[in-house]
Amino acid sequence: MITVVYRLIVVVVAVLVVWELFSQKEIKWQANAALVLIPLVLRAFMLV
Amino acid sequence: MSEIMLVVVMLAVFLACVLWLKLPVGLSLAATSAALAVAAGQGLPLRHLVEGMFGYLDVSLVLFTAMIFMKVIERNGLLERLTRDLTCRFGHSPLAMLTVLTLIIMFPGAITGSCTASVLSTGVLLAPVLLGMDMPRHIAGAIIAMASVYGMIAPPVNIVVMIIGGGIDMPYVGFDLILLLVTVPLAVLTTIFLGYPYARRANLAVLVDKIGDADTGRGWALYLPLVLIAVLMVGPKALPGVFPDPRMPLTFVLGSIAGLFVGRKFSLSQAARDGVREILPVIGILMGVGMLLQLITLTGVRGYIAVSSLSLPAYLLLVSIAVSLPLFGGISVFGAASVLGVPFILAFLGQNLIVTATALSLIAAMGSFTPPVALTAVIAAQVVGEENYLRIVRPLILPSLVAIIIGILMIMYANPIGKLVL
Repeated sequence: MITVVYRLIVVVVAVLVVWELFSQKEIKWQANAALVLIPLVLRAFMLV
Repeated sequence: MSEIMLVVVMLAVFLACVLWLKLPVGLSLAATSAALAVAAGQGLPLRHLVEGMFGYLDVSLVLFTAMIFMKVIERNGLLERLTRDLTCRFGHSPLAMLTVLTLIIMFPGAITGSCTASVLSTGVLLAPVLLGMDMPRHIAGAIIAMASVYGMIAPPVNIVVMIIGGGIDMPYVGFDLILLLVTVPLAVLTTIFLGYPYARRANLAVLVDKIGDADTGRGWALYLPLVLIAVLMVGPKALPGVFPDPRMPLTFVLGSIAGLFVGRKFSLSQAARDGVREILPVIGILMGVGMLLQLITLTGVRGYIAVSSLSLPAYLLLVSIAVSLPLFGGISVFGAASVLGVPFILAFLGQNLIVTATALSLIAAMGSFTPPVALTAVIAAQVVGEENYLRIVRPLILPSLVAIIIGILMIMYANPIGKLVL
């Protein structure tokens, strides 16, 4: 149960980061958001 | 390439990325990790780079959810109400007023581990109160900046200690009391040192009446999210095995959900987006730190630095900690913790590591005021409307030196302090 809840939290955070990635104007901050997104996506899909 | 050359490459690439290319510190650390791998003949080890980021994924989740919670209690009026209630309750004596103001400013930093969160939330909220005591702008800014930095290293979330601990596989457990004992007295004493001459002469009764008149809503239901967070944090420790431990991210999520049902109405998606935007640079740094730690381990640089640190005479090691950590903190406090803090703590493996890591975080945090970046002072200057941020840094030189000396003494006497406190 707690695993599902935490996976859900990761998914919500990942969606917010994606939203932020596309609303950033400067490419360096988009890259920063993309960097943060990598482990979130991998954990959301339980790949790592 | 020899290890010493790899260290030179690492520092050169990092400084070039931050100071010349003006990249965010997180990206600079990631680029440094990649450059280090190439220089060591490892190619581009994607598996190691990604694996390194996972070292700080749990901490990142705490920060994301804590920041969203901060935005929720800012929007629903709880933060404003908390400030009003505490200042009205304790605001009649200058010493009590300054103490309470310091604790309020520290609060968001303590919850999120980010001093920016403190400066931009409670700092903004309390700047008019400090200025209302006829304090010059640079003194009000200095108080906000210093209390925010102490908030950043106060429990329950101290990212600097987490970074240093992550480097030596030390869990973030047992730090709460020692961090509280180090940060709160120093923060309060610094505020009193800077602000008491003004608070003593100010007409506090008028100021308190003015704050009390602010319409922040009535009823105690507004405090529900804060009470819930406190219960969920204290419960598992008070009743282990009986009270389920939801861990911190879920605790903050539940607190944020509770915040939706009390106080002013607001858009949760907007609050969450604002929270994520504000904390993303810090999370980026954590990801970069994870990569760099993985890569310095892969290339042998970590072992080289540890052995070199161990071979330094003790006094020279302490001098280098006192000088290099705050200086490097001028670029990034978290960067200093990863690049220098981890090797430094490796040199003290024989003594109490909880006290030593706390001391290193205290020393590194003072780098928040070191130019060229001096991020906390720059933001505090904007908050109080001071044009030259160096005017905010100047009154903080003496309190910072005192904090560094205390940090060094803590490292020297880590074992007796550990026996006494832990």
